[in-house]
Amino acid sequence: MSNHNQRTLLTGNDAVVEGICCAAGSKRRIVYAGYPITPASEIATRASVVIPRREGVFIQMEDEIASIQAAAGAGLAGAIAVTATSGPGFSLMSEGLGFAAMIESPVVCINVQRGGPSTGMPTWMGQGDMMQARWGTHGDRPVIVLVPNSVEETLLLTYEACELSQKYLVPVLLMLDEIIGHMEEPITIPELPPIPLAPDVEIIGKGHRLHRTGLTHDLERHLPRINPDAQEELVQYLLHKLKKDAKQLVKYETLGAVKDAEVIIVCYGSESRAVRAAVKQAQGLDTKKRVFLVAEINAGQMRIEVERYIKKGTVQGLNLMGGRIHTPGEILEAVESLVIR
Amino acid sequence: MEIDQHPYADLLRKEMMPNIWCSSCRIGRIKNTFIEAIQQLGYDPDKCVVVSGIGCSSRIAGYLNLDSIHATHGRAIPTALGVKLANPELKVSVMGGDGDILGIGGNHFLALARHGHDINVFCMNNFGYSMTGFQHGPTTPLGARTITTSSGNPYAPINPVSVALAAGYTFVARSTSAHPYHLIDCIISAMKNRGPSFIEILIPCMLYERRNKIKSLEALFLEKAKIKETLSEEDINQSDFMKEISLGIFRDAPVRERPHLSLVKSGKRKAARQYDVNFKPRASGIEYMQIRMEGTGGQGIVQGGKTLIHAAMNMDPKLHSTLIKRYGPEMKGGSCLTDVLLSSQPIDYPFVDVPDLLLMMSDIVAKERGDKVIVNNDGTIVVDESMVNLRLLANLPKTVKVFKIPATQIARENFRVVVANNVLLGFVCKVTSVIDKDCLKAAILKSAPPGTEEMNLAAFESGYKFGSS
Amino acid sequence: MKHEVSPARYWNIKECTIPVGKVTIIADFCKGGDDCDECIRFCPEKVLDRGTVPNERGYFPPVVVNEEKCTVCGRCQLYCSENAIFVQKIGERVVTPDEIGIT
Repeated sequence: MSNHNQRTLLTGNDAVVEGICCAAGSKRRIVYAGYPITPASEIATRASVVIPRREGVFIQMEDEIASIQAAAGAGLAGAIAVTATSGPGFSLMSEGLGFAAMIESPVVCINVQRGGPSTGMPTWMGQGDMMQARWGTHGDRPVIVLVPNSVEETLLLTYEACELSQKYLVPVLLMLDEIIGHMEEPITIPELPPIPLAPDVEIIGKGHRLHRTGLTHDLERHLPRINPDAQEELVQYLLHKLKKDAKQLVKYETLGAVKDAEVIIVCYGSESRAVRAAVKQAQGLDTKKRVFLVAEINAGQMRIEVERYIKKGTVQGLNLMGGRIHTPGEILEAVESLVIR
Repeated sequence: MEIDQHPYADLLRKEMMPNIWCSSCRIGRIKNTFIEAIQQLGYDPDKCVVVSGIGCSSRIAGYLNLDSIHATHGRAIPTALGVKLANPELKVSVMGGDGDILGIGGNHFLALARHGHDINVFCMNNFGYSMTGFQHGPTTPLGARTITTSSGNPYAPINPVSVALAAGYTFVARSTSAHPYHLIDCIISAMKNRGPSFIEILIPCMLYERRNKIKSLEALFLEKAKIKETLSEEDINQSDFMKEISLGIFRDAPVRERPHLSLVKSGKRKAARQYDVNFKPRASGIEYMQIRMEGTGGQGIVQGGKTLIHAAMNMDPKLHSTLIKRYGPEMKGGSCLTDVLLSSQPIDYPFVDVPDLLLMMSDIVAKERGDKVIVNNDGTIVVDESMVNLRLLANLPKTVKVFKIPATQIARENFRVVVANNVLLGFVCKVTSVIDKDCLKAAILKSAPPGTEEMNLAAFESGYKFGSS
Repeated sequence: MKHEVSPARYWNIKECTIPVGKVTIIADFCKGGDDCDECIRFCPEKVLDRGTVPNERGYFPPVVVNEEKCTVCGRCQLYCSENAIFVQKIGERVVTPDEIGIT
């Protein structure tokens, strides 16, 4: 067949696996431990074919708890450790994610969000896991959350998730949603350098006789030390790992002249595609003061965060409870209702 | 310091000592037997990993100067499996109590046997949850008093050995803390076994002794236990350790060779005839086009949409496109639709609002919508008239172009029903000039399962021919 | 009994010698007393006896009474959960016929 086209048609779920493979290069070992769940099953399907060909391991575990724990163990033993799930499985993984943060294991967890709570809508999208991603574990823990809005961005952010997890030794969450996971777009798979792995002294099996515990421990040898001072030192250290680099870690895109804008729409994931379409049409609006419109497919989880940081201007939400994203028309309507005529 | 001259000094994490266990506890002795076994085997301690969960016995991981992980409650086995998968040359052992491994971690305990990886599980059975004050657990004997069964345990205990045998562990043994030399032998055999190994180690707990007014469980183990060379069915099924305890190796089986993961997939395929369609990319002239294909699950609706996108990619490599599919939980028979967007600019909103081109392979979606057919006023509808009730199209404005083909009937009569989507696409290709014929044929070849290329192409051609007549 | 055999590395059967041992007790680690007297009970040569001086945590570590009898069988160090006792081989001596019952 004559092939004039370098692009391949991939779903967001497929792009996750390609992103992992880009991060691993030809030498690094991938361990993918997962459990089937709609709408993330396709990640496991593709991983089970692609990863064993690259000397990696795909294993279907007995449940999501086992998946995240196996990933935490594999990350600590020097592999690129990945697991993927959706809402109900993500709830089960909460403890494991806290464990991975505590033992400083580099784990990448992909959550293809669906409508919730509980079983909810397995084949329809939602964005209701965002605050769970941030706070889902008991105790305070560091976490990086990335949210892509296209198939290509999914690949690049999966690559980045692997890189950041190995750099900071924290679990990194990639929050897809069902639309991105199942949407197909033609993309060019880029040539990316393999990511640098965590240093040997943080990896077990390299002769350093490490101890890693979920108990409060000292920072030097990770031996249990259970007292308020040790707890203070440990949790501050864990949180500071990311706080000190927060400026580089926080990533966002803007469209339009944000500085002078009267209405700023804040959004993420597949919803941002509808917002982008709307913003391209909306212009020359006039409001009395600056308004932040937080568009998301949940009851306003990010709106609370935006409210916390916005000192000037009002914050309003534009919410759907799941199943679909806003149409550009609905967003324009909401924006126009804020405008004084 | 004196401890540095201890023969076990290399494997003891000295800064953790003295240990936290009660004064009559025997968990420390299990740790000693493990150290002794590693020393006798001559394993490189740098390549040994111990993973434990939560509980008294799980604290062993902290006192062993090996790579060790003290994981969450019940999750030692999957964590160990992760380590083993990441680095197969490591010798991975799991230490835990009965509550940890058989209670909360029971699912992982069963699954490990099925996965069949070389992980040694040492389960210290003290008949309850001792770290939290002795609540009843999966192995608490019938009638035994614990703080949550103060008038006697009403629940029958499970037998760890018979569970392990049934689950398929390749090495299963039972020993006690009162027989450390026997235990060393068991651990050595378990470490040598290349499959998943399980040793049940009975240990006394002071809390259990006190509450049940037993003077010394250890003395009881010494009195009642018999080490046996060969063990029978009765030895496995012992239900009351107060009467008799059979110690020994219940199973030491070789590991069945499993096919390597990557080999399972690449079975030899029949060499199919190579088909080739040459096509020339050209400017498509498409600015923004919304295509929707709808029908019943199983008709190849998603496949048809993919073929369209591949064809569009073939035709104009610069064209942007997205595909979104919607279907119910059932694989066949439910409503199914595929939204394809083609655009010269990057696509923002990925859903079809009002389709310019609607391909209806059945009317199930329209009926679910309340007998409504949504299409652009100057758009095009292509209908499989053998599947769609044409009355639905009666109310459409005159400007909508309607083309009809009995695609499913043609496919059923000449080929198989599954290629109806390609018959329809052939027809679409002819009656609308959206996509180049050769580009479409190349796209069909790309997605057709090996061996069916000829039929799919012939179906396409018959649809194309139907459009010409 | 098959399993109750001391580790062979301590023994030199050809020369008819047996090891001479030195017993070390790490008193601070010991949790001995009424609850635990394993090292004393399982010592085949009765090298140890109950101690009377408590350690800093209130336990009573054993005392060595017949160190010359120690054959470095290693039982005390294997049985001790706390790793508070260990033996080292410091030499060998020839077994006298009386000792093993050959006359």
